[in-house]
Amino acid sequence: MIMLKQHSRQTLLASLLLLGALLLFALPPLAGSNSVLSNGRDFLQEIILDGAGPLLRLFQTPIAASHSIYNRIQGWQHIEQENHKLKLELDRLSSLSVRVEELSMENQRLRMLLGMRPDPSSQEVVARIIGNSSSAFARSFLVDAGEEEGIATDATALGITAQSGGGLMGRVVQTSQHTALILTLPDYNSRVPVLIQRSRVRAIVSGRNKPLLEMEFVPKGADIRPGDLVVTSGVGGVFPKGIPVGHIQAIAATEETGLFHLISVKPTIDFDRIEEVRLLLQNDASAPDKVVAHSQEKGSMPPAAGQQTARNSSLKVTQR
Amino acid sequence: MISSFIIAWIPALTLVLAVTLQESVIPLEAWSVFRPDLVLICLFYWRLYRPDRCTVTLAFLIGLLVDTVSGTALGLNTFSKTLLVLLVSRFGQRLRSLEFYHMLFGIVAVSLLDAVVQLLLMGLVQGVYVRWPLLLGRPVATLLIAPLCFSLLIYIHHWWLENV
Repeated sequence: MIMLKQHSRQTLLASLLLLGALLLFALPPLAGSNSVLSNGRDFLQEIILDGAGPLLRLFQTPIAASHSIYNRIQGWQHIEQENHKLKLELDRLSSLSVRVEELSMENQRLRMLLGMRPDPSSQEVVARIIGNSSSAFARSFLVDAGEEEGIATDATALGITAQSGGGLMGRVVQTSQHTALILTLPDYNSRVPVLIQRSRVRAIVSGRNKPLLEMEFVPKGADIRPGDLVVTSGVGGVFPKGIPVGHIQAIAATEETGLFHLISVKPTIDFDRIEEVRLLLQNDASAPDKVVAHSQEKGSMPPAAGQQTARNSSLKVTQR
Repeated sequence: MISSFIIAWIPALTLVLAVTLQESVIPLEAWSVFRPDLVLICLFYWRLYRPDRCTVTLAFLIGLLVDTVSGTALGLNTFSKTLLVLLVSRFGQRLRSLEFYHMLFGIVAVSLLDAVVQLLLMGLVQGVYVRWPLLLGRPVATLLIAPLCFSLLIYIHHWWLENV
């Protein structure tokens, strides 16, 4: 009798847990984004992320250190070649930087003459990746900076890779005290308003859980060529304007694609090689002031334009 | 007293360790396709040999942890892992009587089933937009690493949990 009772209790518990898991899965489409259920779900995720963050960081530290040693040793082998290449690049860029400065000042003057609102400037936090989604259905990264460092939901994330330079990586979708979850461009749920730098054609770039991105809503006959640079358009207000997203890889226009082109975009950054992330903070957030104050207390200079101030080994703040 | 309490929680600790390794250490360049499901191996082992220390609730919580850390839709791994643990306990007696090498095929079957359940659920929500190499590479990688994981778990089991 007791055994039977215990068995039925176990069956009930298992059924309840399975139902609970299904509810968790089906909750976002059913409940609104601001409902009590949705808020509770976010709170649950925040608690789990806060708990898992330190553990992930603990395991990631020796791995990141060994990676950096390996990269450094590999770098030594090509140091002379690289030095020569960098010198040439520096020569080219030094003349370019003067031109850029001139153009930027002219741009500011013209903006003032036209009475345009200045672009909202933002600060940056550099964070290290401590978790990389192993799921076949999502592409996201967990980084070691959170609300305490001024990161909020929808903050723009830029990838840093030695091989391909910088570019748009995605946006923050979940934050906890010391960690943030970044939804990357190839994720199925990612949509970014973009424009083609050369022809200024607007479109939407979406992820398909594949290495290449898909560009939507580009009408047939639009001026697009393979190799064109795609940048953020600033429409929607989530991503600042002009951040490189990728290059056009292939264009298809068949009867099946209807009125639009079917365009593949190769992301600027290599998502398999990212180790650090730059997160853009909005100016109105109060927390970045805390971070800046923190670095000033340590005796460093207040961050000036273009300068980076180290907060700790894995976290840096910079003024854009 | 404290040590016996910790020892009793060793299966749960190994599962948390498996989540950490799976989500933060393994996804390196060399592992971009062959990412084994360490959590599944641990759940399989503990549910088979220490069902008292690896309950359905623990599987539910571990699945929730995987979902949160990996950024997948919340509930996906929670559901699939809870379901698989229930299946393992249903066929536990038969699985326990198998040879070690035959049991490896059991792990592959469970891993494939996990992929199918997740694929069905995600297919309902977002269509079939999957990283196929990762989805198909997982059972293979799980099979390859399972003997090593099993040996480690057997060692932990005999060393710490023999008398608990």
